[in-house]
Amino acid sequence: MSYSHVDPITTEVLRHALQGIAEEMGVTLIRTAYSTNIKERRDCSCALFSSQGELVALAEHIPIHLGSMLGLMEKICEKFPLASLTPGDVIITNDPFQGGGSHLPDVTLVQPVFASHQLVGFVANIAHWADIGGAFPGGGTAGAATEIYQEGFRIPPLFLYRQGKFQKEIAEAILTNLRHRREREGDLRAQLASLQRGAKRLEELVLSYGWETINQNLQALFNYSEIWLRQQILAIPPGEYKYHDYLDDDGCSPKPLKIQVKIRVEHAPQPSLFFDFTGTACQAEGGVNMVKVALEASVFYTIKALLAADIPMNAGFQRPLRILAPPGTLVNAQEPAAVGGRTDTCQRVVDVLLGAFSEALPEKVIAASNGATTALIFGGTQKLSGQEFVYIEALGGGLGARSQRDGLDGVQVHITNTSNLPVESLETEYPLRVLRYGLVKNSGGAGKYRGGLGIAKEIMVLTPVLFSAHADRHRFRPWGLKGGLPGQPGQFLVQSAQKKRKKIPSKINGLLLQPGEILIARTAGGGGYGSPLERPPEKVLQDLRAGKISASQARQLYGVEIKGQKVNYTATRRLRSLRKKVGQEKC
Amino acid sequence: MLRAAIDTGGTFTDVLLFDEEQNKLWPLKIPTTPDHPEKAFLQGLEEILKAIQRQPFELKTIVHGTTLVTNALLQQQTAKTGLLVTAGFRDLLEIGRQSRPELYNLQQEKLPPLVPRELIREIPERIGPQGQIIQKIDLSVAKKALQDLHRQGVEALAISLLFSFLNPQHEKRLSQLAREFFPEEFIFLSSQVSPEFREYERTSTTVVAAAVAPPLVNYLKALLNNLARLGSSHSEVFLMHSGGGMLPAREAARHPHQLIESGPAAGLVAVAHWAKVLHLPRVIAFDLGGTTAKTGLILNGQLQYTVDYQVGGPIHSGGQNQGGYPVRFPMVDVAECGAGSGSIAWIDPGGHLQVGPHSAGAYPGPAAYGQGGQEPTLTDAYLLLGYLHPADLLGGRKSLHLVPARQAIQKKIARPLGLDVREAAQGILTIANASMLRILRLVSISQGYDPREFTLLAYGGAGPLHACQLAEEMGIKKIIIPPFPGLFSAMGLLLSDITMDFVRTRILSLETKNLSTIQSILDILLQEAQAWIQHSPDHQKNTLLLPSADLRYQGQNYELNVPFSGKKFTSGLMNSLLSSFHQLHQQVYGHCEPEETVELVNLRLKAIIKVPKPQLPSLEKASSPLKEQTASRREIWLKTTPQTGLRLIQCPVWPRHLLHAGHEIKGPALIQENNSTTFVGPAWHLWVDSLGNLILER
Repeated sequence: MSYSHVDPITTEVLRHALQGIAEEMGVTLIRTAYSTNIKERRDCSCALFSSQGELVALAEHIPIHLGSMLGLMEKICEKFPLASLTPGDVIITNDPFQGGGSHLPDVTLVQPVFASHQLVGFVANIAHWADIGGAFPGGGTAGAATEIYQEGFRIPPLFLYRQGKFQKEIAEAILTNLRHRREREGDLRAQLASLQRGAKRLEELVLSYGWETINQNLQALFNYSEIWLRQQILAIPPGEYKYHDYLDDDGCSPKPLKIQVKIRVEHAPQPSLFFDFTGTACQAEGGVNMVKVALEASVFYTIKALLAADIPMNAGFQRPLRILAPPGTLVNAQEPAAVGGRTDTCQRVVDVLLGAFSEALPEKVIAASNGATTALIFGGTQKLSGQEFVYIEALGGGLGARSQRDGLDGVQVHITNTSNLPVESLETEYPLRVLRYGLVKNSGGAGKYRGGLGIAKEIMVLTPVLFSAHADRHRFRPWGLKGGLPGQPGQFLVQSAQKKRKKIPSKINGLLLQPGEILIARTAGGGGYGSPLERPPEKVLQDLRAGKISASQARQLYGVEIKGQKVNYTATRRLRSLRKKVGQEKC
Repeated sequence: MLRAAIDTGGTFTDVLLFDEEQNKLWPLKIPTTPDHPEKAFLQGLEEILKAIQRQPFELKTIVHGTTLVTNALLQQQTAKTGLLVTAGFRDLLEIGRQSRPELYNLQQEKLPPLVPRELIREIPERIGPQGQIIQKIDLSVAKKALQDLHRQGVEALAISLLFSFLNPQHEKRLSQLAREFFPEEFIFLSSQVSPEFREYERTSTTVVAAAVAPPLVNYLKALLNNLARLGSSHSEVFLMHSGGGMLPAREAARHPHQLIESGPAAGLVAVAHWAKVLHLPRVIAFDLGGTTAKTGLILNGQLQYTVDYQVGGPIHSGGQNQGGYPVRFPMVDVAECGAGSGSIAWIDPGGHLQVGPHSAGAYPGPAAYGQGGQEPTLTDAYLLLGYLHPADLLGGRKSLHLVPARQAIQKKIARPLGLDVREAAQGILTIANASMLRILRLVSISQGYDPREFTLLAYGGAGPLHACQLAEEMGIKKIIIPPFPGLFSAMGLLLSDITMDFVRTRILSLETKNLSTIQSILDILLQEAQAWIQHSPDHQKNTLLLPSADLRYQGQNYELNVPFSGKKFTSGLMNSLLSSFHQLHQQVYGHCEPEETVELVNLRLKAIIKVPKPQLPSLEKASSPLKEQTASRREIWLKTTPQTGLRLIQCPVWPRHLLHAGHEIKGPALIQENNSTTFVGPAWHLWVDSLGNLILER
């Protein structure tokens, strides 16, 4: 059956089919992978590209991969002319500077797909491997490296398979440089199985619809996303909007790092958005730098979440958006910058963008969130087997309050959405014991709508462990909006066997923890929205009863008097009017 | 004696009555009474008994499929429930797996935990990953917590402690204490409800069971009282569960979480029975109802199961359910999408046509119902294209109106897209088919099966309308439309056995050195199952024990369930289990690693008490070929190939009751019956088998 036909219905039918392929690739990858990051935390994504390398369909589990998927093909096409690719090729890369990645542990595989000897597209997947070599276990995720060379093994785009032939030497060079070779081989196999699945499906689809029909409908699909997004942009009043915020530090020096954006909203000649990050701090010594694709991912995420969650993500989505970021800055770092902790910076970029839109879109924008990835890495040796282990986990926190509702408590926000590892799985596999995993009382920024609560996790180590981590918002608190108060900052503490607690920095590498010592990690709560004095007293009471706020917070920040599980309305009214007066005098 | 099957759905209550002596079936479909579902239950029963002039005392068994549990969860009408957890883990339910259901929606909400935070109490105690007691339980704290929960009016209690699946000692102590304050029937232990690892999922399952137990018990009481009043107090009442079996009503009340989604499970039980009777090794079931389409596989007559299920979340197009409450229990594996015959068609802001997941429901219903519905639905498209006739639907109880249907499609779809109104109606069908194809592919191709080797069995009110088009897209060459397709799920209720599932988690490598440990777990399961069978009123009957193992390669975190047979876990059995696992892994994921260590995670045992099944009534043999002139004619608009436009064809319409065994019809044709319409595509040829099935081939 070969014919050529473009209409919105055929395009929609094809969109279903293409999305279905990307999702099937994802299911295969997650279910067969070995790294905890992939199998339980779903830190992976799959995508389909056109024969020109344009993004066609994406099954992403965390939005940060958006940028890599968009940046990837540009780099691949630069290095390998399309005509040189043959059936049976598979390309591997992880390099942020040469391969379109955003940090080293994200290993990307790409396979050109052929139908009747013609290049018809590409399938690709990204998976976060639990180790990528480098100075410390879990390598590139640790924040305090100063050059990318320290963060792990760099793989520029290379053929892993050439014309169906496995490039043993390349694989050997890679695997030799990584910890836990057996696990890494398992991850690689899972990624290859997922590619194979996707390639087969894409080929079948092209054969059943005909190459011409697919190609023309792809263009229609890009237009569809573009038109949809431009329409949403029309809802923002044209003009310039500015905002800035600070990252705590880069883990090397205590200096805060400024992130600044100016957004220009244009309605003519075409609705479009222009993002200018000029004024942002220079690229840092520590690994909090972002490469350009990570910045793009952050911008695309924000726009999609803010304007239209349902727009299919493809090459058309990018068209109305332009991004300027001076090279050599924190948000467009150049080789050999260290980038391992870039997700914290990405989270801050999202907050800054939301801050900039807060005047133009007060209903849609939310207050600042937890704003960090809070990655904890435990490396050591199993007592019985003598095998090395690396355990990585990312903690969620509070979502910023919204214009009509509270922020979500204890959840992954914005740029990441990884799942946790069940405690029963963690303790079975690693010499660690979780003593507490819960919400942090009083951590949500007070407001008419309360910011979400941060998370606290307390982990006791049972053997000597090297602990590394990167987090942020231990200093600059998540801000509130329209009178909402900021959320509580995050914090890392180490508790000794003698129960003495010591604060440690938010970015740390290779700290030795002795058996019986406890790592206490707390993440930030989200900022509030609107004045806390306007929060209905019943909701304050409900939070108090649920133990999410204390009685003194109810009284001091919300101005609500509660006696014996009931609101004292008269006292509350008095207290609130007093607070309002004091507030006005301050202004 | 009579057997009744009563399947309460969201919109309709289906009743099937079977007379064992006469070997005869009677169907009835009436609207559900959502606030008091037992009303329609009884009304249906009375109505059908009256129609055939039989008495309530003649009812020997009644098998019931209910949506009560699902609805209680969806509408947040659950009991006030308390929860006891290990100290330090009060927020287990609220944090869940820490991820948010939607990646990109800043305004999203999560479902509120079934137990509010103030009713969750932390108990100082700790069990370790080997089942060892690290910290003894503090019973004085527990007692205070229980007193307090009791004082706050808690009706049902869930108890879920870390590693209780390895060592239930602490949970049992708490349960003993709790009986001072709460009725035993409303206390649920995670080590009993779901003795599997992964604390969030286990706790969630336990809490779901506790939270729906009181409303379920109340409902069952009302039901049994009413039955007694009707004069059938001696009938045995069974409830269908989502594992594809049934349980006596009293026992079902102890396993309320198993009653979620029992309707689709019943449908698949019927399909499995059909597959066995007709000797079909590979069948794809396709059920199209008012709000959703559902599909699942039957391989060699066997149901397929899944333990990954979340209840109460939104329905997604991809067939996955996220953002609901996880329930771990081997459920019949059904993929679902929000495109049913009442699903609303709409244009998204990018200018593409979409169908569902919103549904027009029973009221106002599709525009064609003439009850004021303004939104175009799939039903309106059927009517406009001629697949349905204004006099159709529900045996004439509800008639359809062409004018509002046309108006809705014209205004909401055709005009904005610049299409002719019939082209738009066809578009609605095409997009709905695309959603349905996605779930059909998900259960077949994504699992490594080639759909061309399958037979499609289509049922539900609208399933037989879509069957030909879907089969063509999937490369399927044979379709079966059973008798009473609109009540086919109720048929499954008459064909179910009594079943119960047992499980134990023990993570260890599948190696010779572990054989005796595995044997001891298997022995525990066998003992539990035997005890359950002994307790059952039907224990003298034919029983069956089906063991299986959840296996994975060491280091993976998802398991595949591999059945085995035998009660002695020998090295021979282990080796055959290993090779089945490698084979299945190859089948599902496209690769296997025979060199790698395989890990056992769960041992499972399904106990079945066989119940005699009704013989399917056979259909009278045709005495003469069908006469062309007996069929009425109707104009239908048909898209024969994707590249051509709509063509108007004269389509013969056959009342199904005129078709007898051996009759043949060439497509295109419509076969019409009370609660369903079958469309036979132009490339298809239909014949009627001796059981009254319509067999479509091409």
